[in-house]
Amino acid sequence: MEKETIFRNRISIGTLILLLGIILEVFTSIDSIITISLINAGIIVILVSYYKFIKYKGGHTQDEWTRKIGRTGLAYSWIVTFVVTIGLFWVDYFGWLQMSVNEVLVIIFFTMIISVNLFQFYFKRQGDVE
Amino acid sequence: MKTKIKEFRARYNLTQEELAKKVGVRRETISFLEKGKYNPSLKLAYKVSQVLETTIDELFIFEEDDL
Repeated sequence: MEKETIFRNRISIGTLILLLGIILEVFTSIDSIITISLINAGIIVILVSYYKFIKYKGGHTQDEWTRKIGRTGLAYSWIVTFVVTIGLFWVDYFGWLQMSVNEVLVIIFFTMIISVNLFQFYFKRQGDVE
Repeated sequence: MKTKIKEFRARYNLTQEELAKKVGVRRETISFLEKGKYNPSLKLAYKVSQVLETTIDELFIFEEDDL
């Protein structure tokens, strides 16, 4: 697929998510956390797509180097998340902290997002992974 | 690992960006290849050597520590 087609598709998806959020907010009484999340997600998809299009115009956004680093970052992040999940289990088992399901999900979610980005950033600076 | 990519690239008056486009990778990949930091796949090594009209063993020099 051509780069401009990919860009147009991503912008369209972002716009659809954004419009869905706005429509739900205006015409329904659905929880505003959902509509705000959709609007934010739409804006982020549009901005990130536009940034990538400008930065890598004519060039490649992905290659074997980025895929290798991406995969390894994900693998390391999985291990960190696994360790954090085990930690949460023991925290709950010994009753050291009272946490709701939502709080646990937020901890796991942010552990995944932050750790994968940190590992990928580190490996990109290193240049390679063994 | 050492490479002669920079040397060969200069011979053909190619920038990192131009070589990256010809090979089908990002500029950073070429940069890390030149610094000898990135160990490429055989496919990528072959592509680079094809574009620079040379052979893989001419372009990539492995030392004892790399093996």
